[in-house]
Amino acid sequence: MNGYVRHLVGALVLLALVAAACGTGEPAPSSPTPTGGEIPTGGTLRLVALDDIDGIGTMDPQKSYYSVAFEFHRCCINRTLLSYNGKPTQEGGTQLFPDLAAAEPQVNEDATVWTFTIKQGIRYAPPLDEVEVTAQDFVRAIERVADPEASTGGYPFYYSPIEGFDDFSNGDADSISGLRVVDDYTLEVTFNRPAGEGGYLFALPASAPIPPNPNDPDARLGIAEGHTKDYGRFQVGTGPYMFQGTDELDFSVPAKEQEPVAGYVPGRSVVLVRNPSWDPDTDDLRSAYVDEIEVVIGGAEKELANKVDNDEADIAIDLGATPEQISRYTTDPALQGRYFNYQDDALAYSSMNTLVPPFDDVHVRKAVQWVVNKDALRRIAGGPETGDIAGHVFVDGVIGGVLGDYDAYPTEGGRGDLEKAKEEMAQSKYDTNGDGVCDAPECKGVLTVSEESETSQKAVQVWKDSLEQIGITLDNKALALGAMYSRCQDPKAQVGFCPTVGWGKDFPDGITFGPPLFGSEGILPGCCNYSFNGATAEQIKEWGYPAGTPVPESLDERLEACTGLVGDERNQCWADFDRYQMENVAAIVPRRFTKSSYVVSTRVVNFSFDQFAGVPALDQIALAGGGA
Amino acid sequence: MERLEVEREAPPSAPAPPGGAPEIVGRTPWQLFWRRFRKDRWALGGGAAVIVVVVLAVVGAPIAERLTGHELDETYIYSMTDEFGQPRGPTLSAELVPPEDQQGGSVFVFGADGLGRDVLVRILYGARTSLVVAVFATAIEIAIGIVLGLISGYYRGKIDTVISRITDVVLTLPVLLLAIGVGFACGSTKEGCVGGLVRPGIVLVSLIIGLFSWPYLSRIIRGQVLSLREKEFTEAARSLGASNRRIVFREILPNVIAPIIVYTTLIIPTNILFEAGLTFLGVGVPPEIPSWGRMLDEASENFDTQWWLMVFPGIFLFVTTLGFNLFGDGLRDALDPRSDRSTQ
Amino acid sequence: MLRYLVRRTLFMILVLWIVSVLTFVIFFKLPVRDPAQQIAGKGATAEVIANVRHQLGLDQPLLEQYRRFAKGLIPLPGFWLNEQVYYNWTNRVAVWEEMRRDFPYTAVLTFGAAVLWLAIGIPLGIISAIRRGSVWDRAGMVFALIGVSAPTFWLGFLFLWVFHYGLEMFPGSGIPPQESLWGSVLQGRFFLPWLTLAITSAAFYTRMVRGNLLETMSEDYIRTARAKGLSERAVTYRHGLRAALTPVVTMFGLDVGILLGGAVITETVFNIPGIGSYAIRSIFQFNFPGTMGVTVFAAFFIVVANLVVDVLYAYLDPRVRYE
Repeated sequence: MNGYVRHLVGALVLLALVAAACGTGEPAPSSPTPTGGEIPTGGTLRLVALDDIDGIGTMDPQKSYYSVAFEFHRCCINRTLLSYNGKPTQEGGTQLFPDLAAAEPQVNEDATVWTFTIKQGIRYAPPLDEVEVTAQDFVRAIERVADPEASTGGYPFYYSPIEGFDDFSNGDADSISGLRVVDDYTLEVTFNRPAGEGGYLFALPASAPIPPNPNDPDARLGIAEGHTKDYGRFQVGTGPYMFQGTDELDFSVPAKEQEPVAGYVPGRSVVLVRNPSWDPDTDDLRSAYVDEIEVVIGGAEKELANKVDNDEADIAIDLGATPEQISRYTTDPALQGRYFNYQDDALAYSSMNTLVPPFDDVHVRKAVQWVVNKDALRRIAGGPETGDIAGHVFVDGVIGGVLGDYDAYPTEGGRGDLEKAKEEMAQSKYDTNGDGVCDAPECKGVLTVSEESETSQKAVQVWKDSLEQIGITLDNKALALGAMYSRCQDPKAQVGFCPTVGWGKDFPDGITFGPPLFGSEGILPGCCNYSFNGATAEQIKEWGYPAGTPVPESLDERLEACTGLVGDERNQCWADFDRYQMENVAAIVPRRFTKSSYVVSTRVVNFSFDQFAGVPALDQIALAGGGA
Repeated sequence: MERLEVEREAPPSAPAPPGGAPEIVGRTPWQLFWRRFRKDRWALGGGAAVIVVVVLAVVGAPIAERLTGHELDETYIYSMTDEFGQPRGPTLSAELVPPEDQQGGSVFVFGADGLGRDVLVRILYGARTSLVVAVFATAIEIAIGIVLGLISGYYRGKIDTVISRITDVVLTLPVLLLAIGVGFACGSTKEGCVGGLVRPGIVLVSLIIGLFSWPYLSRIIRGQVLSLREKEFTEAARSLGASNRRIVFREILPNVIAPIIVYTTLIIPTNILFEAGLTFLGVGVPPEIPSWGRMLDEASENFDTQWWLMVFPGIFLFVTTLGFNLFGDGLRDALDPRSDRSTQ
Repeated sequence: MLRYLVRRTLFMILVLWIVSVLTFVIFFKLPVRDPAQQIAGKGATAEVIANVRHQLGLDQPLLEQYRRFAKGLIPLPGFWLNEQVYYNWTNRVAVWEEMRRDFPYTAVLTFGAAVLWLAIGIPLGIISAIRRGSVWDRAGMVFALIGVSAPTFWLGFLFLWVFHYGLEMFPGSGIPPQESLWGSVLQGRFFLPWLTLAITSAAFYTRMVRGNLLETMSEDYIRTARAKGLSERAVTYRHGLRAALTPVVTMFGLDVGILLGGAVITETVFNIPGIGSYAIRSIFQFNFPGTMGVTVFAAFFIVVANLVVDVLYAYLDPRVRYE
């Protein structure tokens, strides 16, 4: 879901990432390693950013819900039981590795019980450098996830399969029964259903250990006690870096009187320095070449891009490359070594409401799938560098790429196929004369809600041009990003078409795509099933749809069939689900598997892309000559 | 408040009514005005600019569509944007690729925007938006201003005190912030606000502008009325037994029309800028409606390379406001000889 | 005088109260959207949203909600923007902390621009008036009209285009946070914003000074001064100017007051992290406490500027008396 939050939090970020592009469709260029083989260490990595690295500006592990924040937690501040290697998919970037865990977790037969053993002797950053990481610290983190005041809405969604999580969250239990501290170095997690995704949950920053407060051992949430709102600036982690000033945190005084770290001013600046407690021998995943990482937040896209061009900054972390940079850096051979492009496991799509005519007719939905000019949609967003034309919903990163180039509605160059569209439309009840053009009044002025940014409005215009050919016209309402999502989510708003929505993975598993986008559990005031598959007849009536509105097919059972599986079987199950829904439901029009492109300064060597967060891997990047 | 009659707002001293100007025997005030005004080349130029913009907006837009062959929302994505989706600039012979070569002409005098739409056509339709909003908003201001100004100037006493205090309060509001707030609150859903009474669109923007800017006009009119009601002709009418209503509408109102006209020509450009500013900030007219403020907002990211997106709408906006200002200044000077520059 | 001040202060409080009510209604009650839903985030269940609503006090009666916010506007320690209510709903940082951080940028922007526009506007107005009808007068008036007519944001972008990207004379938009405010000033980062703001404002001063000076110079007492045999220069500068500049004080005070509450458009164009940018961010991110704080803060400057200007006016213009 972090793709959504990326959208929600900063239109700028979305625009930037979508506008930026790279796409030859080739695998990403491999990172240049400096001649001589030895990767230099040292120096200060200077980043610039349009918006806060946390989007909303908390950097609180239980609140961060944004790709750039995920990266800062993973690379730098917070180690987790399992984690990723900071590489792109081709180099194992979506695989889980033991991090604070001493080995792979032990999983019982039906994937309901996961047992983690914890490395011994891992200590927190100063001032807690005497405190060792133990199993209870992870329990603390999950309990904080369950605290609705402390965490972001999306996390309970993922962690609620843990036995007793919901009861604890609602205040009906004193603890989460599914979390058992066997001993200081063993944590046993029990789920109330087969949970093939269990490992990923303990690689999210929200599961990073929260240390106890040595001055107040009884504090349930440890040092996070009293920092419901602002733990981000008081956190102490185990990663190779920490916010400057972390060592000066004073947990001996009441939370209210504590001074936050100096190294993070929300919306302004970040300074990360080395964490002296971090021992590289315990960490196989992070290289941590540079000594310091600083982020300067704010400014226009243009200014940021200029700084990277001129070597005044090393990477524009949430902007990537601007279209202007892309055209320059992809065409000038002297610059090509400074340009990188990766698929970032997000989908730009458009959604039809299966309860609203004419989209309550599957033939109309299929006609829409055929007629849309996805190539034009991509071109106005910045061309092939912004992503590959999508033929299905589940991005490669969540199903191990098993669907390949599968496209349920293949057309030449992705420009649409009017004939096929008309064939479908002719079978619809809304095309009374069977000429392939909708002539029913339901097709005129379909209520459409889109995001108001320039890029999105351009997309709406392309949609209008495409749909006009099969007789559908749109009544477009442009809203601010958050407002757009809340309209599309609201079944009572009876919005027919949401052309400018997007979705990204939170972790590399199909569960981050399937249930939220297609399941009845995705029909929430704050969630994401805008086509309302899985709605019941009573719900439809309650939402005010006219009597006789057909009940759309529920996909819940097909989704549940996948959640208990693990490994390849699991990926194949999600893939089969995707094929099924594309060919039989067809309510989501996938537009583009988005790509991110980055320009780096001449100082950057060993560039790497972290597929988990979808952002450059800050622990893998080094500076030529150690930044000298 | 005890603040004396100090003009706070920009277009300063309102003109004395024509009746108050020193008269030369044998010439009506109108003739006097016209003699002065027509000598003022700057004002005439301003007036001409205004007329040109109005004509362009009313008939120019459809004509331009006809001449260029490009409709307002017609996209030339494959012809007028490059492979990176970046718009192409002004050209007289664009290379149209199929199927877009079936659509229209290959002349894009002002270049294209990010969808390959003709910027010229959009600018001309944008002129309509600007003018309509400015005129609506001004009409609202004038309506409120006249009513309150007349009442408070004529009846004085308690009513005047109350109205004047309200005026003072409105003058003290952080207008731009509140306007952005209303624009955001009422403009961010299609239902609008106040139970759906106020919906996003041109009317909403006009209302916002009008409701936050009336006090200036109201003050000026009040000042005029205060002095007019002591004038001999009002006294005369009163002694003849004329009703209050008759005095207000027959004697006083005609005499405040001149300053109202002058002030109108001077607040229209202010309102045009207000609308452009609100739209620039994203709370003005909705994106489906072409408008200069939005075009400039969209141009702001790449103005050094895609200069035509910034320069052309900006020039139109600037010339329009400048035209109104020159014209209004000239009107005032001609009506009020004390600040006249053409008599030199 | 004392009575006057007391009355004015009461009026100020009334205005600020009205502003707080208006802000509450406009930003809090008008939006059809539920702030709790926005803040709860994507994927939040109905319970989570209900919880957030409770946490923000949104489940309480309307009056009670207003009372909570209004209490935080009482300028006493413990009340004034208290953190329990006045924290940024997005990043949970205290509003007061953020405003204190952003305000200096707005102050530097405002005062720098003010110096510049006085330095441009007043001399130009005087020259135009003294040399009435000359080329100078024409030039001054054309400048004035251009300044009045040009949209601030357009002018800002043009300046950036010409002076930054074209001639590379000045730094572009944005203020690096690690740079001290004074350092940024020395780097010239404020120059283009100052110029933009100054040109659009100076125009009003030019027009005003010219108009006032022309009017004053036709007054009786100036004729008397001339009749006494004073040189034209002395008459203009000693007598005319004093009277002509007095109203400028009013306008100046009000302009500065308004800008201190946030130069929204200029700050947006030049990416200056001031109070105006904070206001815009707060509004768009549904950070209601921030919006309330900033709006009342802005109104406060305007009313204070009003008061200061009026008091000052009495000293400058002996004709003005306070009852």
